[in-house]
This record gives sequence, C-alpha cells and structure tokens, in this order.
Amino acid sequence: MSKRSHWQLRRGIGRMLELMGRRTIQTFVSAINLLALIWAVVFVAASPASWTPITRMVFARQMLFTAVDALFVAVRISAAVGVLVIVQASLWLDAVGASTEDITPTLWRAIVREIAPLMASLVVIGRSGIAISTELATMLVSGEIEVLESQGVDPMTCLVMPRILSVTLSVFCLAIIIASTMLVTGYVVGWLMNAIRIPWSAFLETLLLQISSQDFLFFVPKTIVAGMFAGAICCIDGLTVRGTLADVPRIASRSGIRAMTAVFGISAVLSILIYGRILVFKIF
Amino acid sequence: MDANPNEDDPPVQTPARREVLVLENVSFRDPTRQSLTLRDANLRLHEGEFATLGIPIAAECRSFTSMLQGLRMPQQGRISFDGKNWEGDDFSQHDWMRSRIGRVYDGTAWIENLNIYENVTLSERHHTPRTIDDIDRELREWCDFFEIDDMRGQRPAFVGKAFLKICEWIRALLGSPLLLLLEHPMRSVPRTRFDQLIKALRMMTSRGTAVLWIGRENDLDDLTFPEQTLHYRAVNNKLVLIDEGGQ
Repeated sequence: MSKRSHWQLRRGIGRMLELMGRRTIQTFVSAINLLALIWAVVFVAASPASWTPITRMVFARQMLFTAVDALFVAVRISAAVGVLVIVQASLWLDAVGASTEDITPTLWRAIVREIAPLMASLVVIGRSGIAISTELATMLVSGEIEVLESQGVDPMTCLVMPRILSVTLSVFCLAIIIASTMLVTGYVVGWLMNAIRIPWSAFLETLLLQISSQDFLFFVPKTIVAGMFAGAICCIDGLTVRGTLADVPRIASRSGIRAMTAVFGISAVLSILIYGRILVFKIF
Repeated sequence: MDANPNEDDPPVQTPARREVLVLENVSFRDPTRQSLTLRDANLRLHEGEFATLGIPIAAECRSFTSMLQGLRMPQQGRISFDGKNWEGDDFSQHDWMRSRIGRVYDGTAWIENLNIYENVTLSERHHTPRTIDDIDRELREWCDFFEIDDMRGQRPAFVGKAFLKICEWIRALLGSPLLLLLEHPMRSVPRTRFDQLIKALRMMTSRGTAVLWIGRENDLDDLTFPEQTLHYRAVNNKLVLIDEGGQ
C-alpha cells in the first residue's frame, strides 16, 4: 500500500472518529439539557409563587387537552388492544390445555407493568406532545414568546412547567384508565366468544389477588418518568427551533419520534433496573 | 450679575426627578433585522416626561425596544430602568421590572391561544395580587374611555386591526406602569383616535409615567404632540434631542 493510500485511510478513520465523537458529545449535551430542564420544572413547580392565576389557567387547559380530551381515544385503543391480548391469550391457553386462571397473573403483569404505561405514553405523545412542540415552536418563531417575556412573564413558569407537569400526570392517569379498560373489555369480549369461562367476580378476584407492591414499583416510575421525559423533549425541541414557520412541522415530527424513542428506552431501562436482568440473564 | 434678594438664604433646590429610563453610550445592532442601529447613543427620560423618538423610514424598532426592556443586550453601554440595570442573573427582579413597563408592539403583539381579555390582563394577573374584579373595573374604565366594545371571548386572530391596536393601548396602560414604550401606536388606527390616546397619555404622565413614543420621522411630523414633549431623532446612529418641548 502506497504512502498516499495510508494517509487517505488514516484521514478517513480520523474523520469517522471525529464524527462519532461529535455525535457523542451532542447526545451527551442533549441529555444534560434535558435533565436540567426536568430539574428546573420540579424546582419551579415546587415553588408556590409560580402558581399564579395565569400558570394555573395554562395548567388546567393543558390537563383538559392532554388527559380529559384524550380519554375516549385512550379507551378506544385500549379496548381494541385488550380484546387482542386477552382473547388471544385465552385461545392459546385453550390450545395447550391450561385454564384462564393460569394466565391471569401474567396478563395482569404484562398490562400493568408494560403495556398500559407504554400505550398511555404513546397516546399522549401522539395527541399532545407533537402539538406542544408545534405550538411552542410557532410561538417562538412568530415572536409570541418575546411578547410574553416583555411583560415580565417567564415562559418557563407559564408555558413549559405547566405543560410538562400535565403531560406527566396525564400519562399516569391515562395508564390507569387504559389498564382498567383493557381488562374489562378483554373479559367481556372473551366471555362473549366463550374464550373466558369464569364469571366476572371470579376474574376480578383473581386479578385483585395478583396486585402486589412490585406492580406500583413498575407502574409509577414507568408512567411518571416516561411522561416527564416525553413532555420535556417536546418542550425543548419546540423552544430550540431556528428559522421560520416552515421549519416548525419538521421540528414537530422530529420531537414526536425523539419522545417515543425516549419512552421505549426509559421503559426498557426501568425494566432492566427493576427486574435486575436483561431477558433471562441476571445483571445484579 | 444677577441680584440675589436675600443672600443669606440657602438656594432653593428642586427635588431631583426620578430617572425612569437611561441609556448611556449604548451601541446596538441586530444583524438579523433591519433594526435601528445605535453607536454611543444617550437618552435620559424622567418620570412624567413625554418623549418621541423618530426613526428612519427603513428601520424597524422592535429589537431596539426589546433592548430597552433587557430582552436583548447592547453590544456596548448601559441601560437602566428606574435606577436598576438589566445585567446579572436576578431574573425574578428583571421580570418584575418588565411588569412595570407597558408596551405597544411593532409586529406580533398577541398570544394567539389566549383570547384578547386574557392577553390584556395577563401581566396584571400574573404579577399583582389585585383581584379580578379590580382589574375588570379598571379595564371597563379604559374601554369606556376609548369607546370600544367588550373584548371578552374574542380571539386576536378574528377581530379588526384597529380594535386590536386600541386593546394594545389598554394593555399598556393597565395598572399604571412606570414607563410606556409605544412602537407605532397609531398604525392601523384612524387619526380621529389620536386625541383620545394623547389625552390618556397626559393622564398617565401626570401620575408620573414616562412615555417614549417611537415612530417613523415623517409619521411623527404629521402628528401634533403636547407642547412639553421632548423630540428625539435617530441621526447618524445617535439619539439627538431636537426639541426640548418649550423648556
């Protein structure tokens, strides 16, 4: 190999390493910014002085939009998923000769610990997260944020904190509703199709017997942490837009994808941390 | 030599007037906009003073006014409002200072997802412990003064520009601010409204509010301001006092 080829190879590797390094630093900086924003939101929300009538109004409206208005969407989707999961599970159990009681603990855990938090996060991101980043980006580009600041109203207190907080609470509340809907509709449709043959009271009793403190250990962090990250990503993306109104849709779609990626990532990391294993391999 | 009727008496000192807005050797340029550019500019506005600032036709003033409010920093020099400057990171203090400045904007002036009433009362409800009834009472007084209809429930995107501009005046005047920054306040408004606005501004200056009316030079020449008005012009990147208002 000639000297020139050596030099070109070294240069290529150098460039690749530089690119990887730059990407790593960018990711690291983004993560730090995100954590700083979440810390700031907690700090601002904890101060009673932040809860002025305007902040309360913005928070109430965001809750209405993110949680209450999303209720029917969440119920529709969770009903469909509940039917799919429970009926399919019962049919498969029949095929292998097991009873419905045998699968109930697994179903309960799968729904409460994994499916419901994930579905709630996806519903909130799809319905409100993208809307939040679009709204904030539009406000920034059109100069509305400047109007707010010029009146001495801190956008962090009045725009960002209420939105992140309401996204977090909405994910938590919707996850409860989604889990309940999945179980109820799953049972009803399974019973109608004769896939589930035990009465509702027995089904409910079996479920209630499965509730353990570990379920809350999964459910609360998975909804609260994922919701907080999703809200923070949407806000940070909306408020860091550069350019014109034409850039807003691109930012909004990017922030939706980033928020969903973060939710899946957080869900996986929390599962690993709480179970202490990756798939079947113990890590602690 | 002037004769002093009673040389033993100490000279009568008029109390120093409170300086509301001070620009000292300010250099400012916003490269992203066709903004008013300043180099070593000075301006001093006391309580109760009414001043106009004529800017070149091609220049826009939004960045400049934002700089006066500490939202943009000058490249050089010092800006102070009511004796305090915008430096440092005491953001709560800066927000409180900004809440005492009423502003009419050149360009975007409204939060589109709030209705006009919420926009107008936003600052008062956020910063002061005033009751909503008290704010509403003052709002009604200003609406009656400017002879406009109730603004409740109307979104900024769906009303006429003239009505919106008058609502902007009311927002700026609400809560008796210490300083009024008016960027092209007569734009989109019929000339017949000028006397009403001047009357409102005179009421404010009599209570100690300082007023800075920013407009294009030729627009200002067409308007008749009160006799005591100070007239500044932006000439060669400096702020030049061309008329001291009959003093």
